[in-house]
Amino acid sequence: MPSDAQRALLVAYLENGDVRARDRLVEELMPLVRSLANRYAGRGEPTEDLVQVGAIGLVKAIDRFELEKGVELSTYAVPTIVGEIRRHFRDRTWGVHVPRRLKELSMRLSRMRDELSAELGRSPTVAELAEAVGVDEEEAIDALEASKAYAPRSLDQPYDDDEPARVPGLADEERGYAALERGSVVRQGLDALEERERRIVVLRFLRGMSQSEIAAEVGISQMHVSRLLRKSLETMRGRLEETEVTA
Amino acid sequence: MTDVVSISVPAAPGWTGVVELVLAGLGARLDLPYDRIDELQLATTAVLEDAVGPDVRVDASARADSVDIRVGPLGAAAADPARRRVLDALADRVAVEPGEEGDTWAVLTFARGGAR
Repeated sequence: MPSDAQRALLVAYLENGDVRARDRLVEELMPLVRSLANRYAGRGEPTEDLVQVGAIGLVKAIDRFELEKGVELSTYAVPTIVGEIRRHFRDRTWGVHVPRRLKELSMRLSRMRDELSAELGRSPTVAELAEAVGVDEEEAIDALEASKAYAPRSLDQPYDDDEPARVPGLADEERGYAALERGSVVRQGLDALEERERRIVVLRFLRGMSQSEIAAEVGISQMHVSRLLRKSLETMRGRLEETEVTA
Repeated sequence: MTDVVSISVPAAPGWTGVVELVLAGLGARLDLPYDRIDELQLATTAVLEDAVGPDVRVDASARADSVDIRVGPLGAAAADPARRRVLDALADRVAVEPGEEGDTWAVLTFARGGAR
């Protein structure tokens, strides 16, 4: 798109608040985002996720663009898009070295676990998972255990740094949480958690929902629920131990 | 008939992964749903943190309708009600009992069905 046309859209959005103009700019610059995302493809994250993360960087760049600076939007946007993609990798890293083959198998198993859960109406067994992805049970166990070395991006992290983190649907769980005695040890442990982790802990331990039910409710994979429960219990334990030491 | 798998590891954080791997193998052998295996591991590793060492033993007994995980020796924190609350949500039955040498052991019972 010619620079003049881009500039007109930027003026329409930044000075007159025309959101359609911003959407048009995003649409026009998506090939740039795809091109940058492709540079990071094959490193264990789905390319489409990288494109989406890059698009968030593009929107941030448009929002922060200063018309008087006189640079091209595409030039200005590249560092923000790349920064967002890199941050995505930084926040989604493997805690220990895991061979690529196991990482890929782990991701296939994670997807299959959700698919089979929906199909069977229960969590699949290791044998069912292994057969579905065409590996033997030992390989499946290796990959499933390796996946625990993966640190998921915090679900509470806002997409826009200027926006507070909000979790839709939290209010009901908050009521259950609020019912816990103020100052109780369980509540002190829950206080140490981020909002979304607290919601998952409350659903699992106070409401008695299964991991599959929580995954469906929150809209994330069972594997992710499992990882967040582990991380939350570690955090809660740390807080309880601190309380014991200071008591 | 009861099949028993026993493992003894140093009571240190780096060894919980070894116990989890053994439990995953046992769960697969028993054809447990994967989220059941996951919670069995989660509960067991939570108990392992109360081990008073230098070593901690995990005895997994597979019965026709349930799996018992006996872990010990443990410190007094194992009987803490707040910690029990988490374990109660994961296991079908949680018992803290004295060991033969005056120490404390936890026994977690998991039904061989789906996750609770």
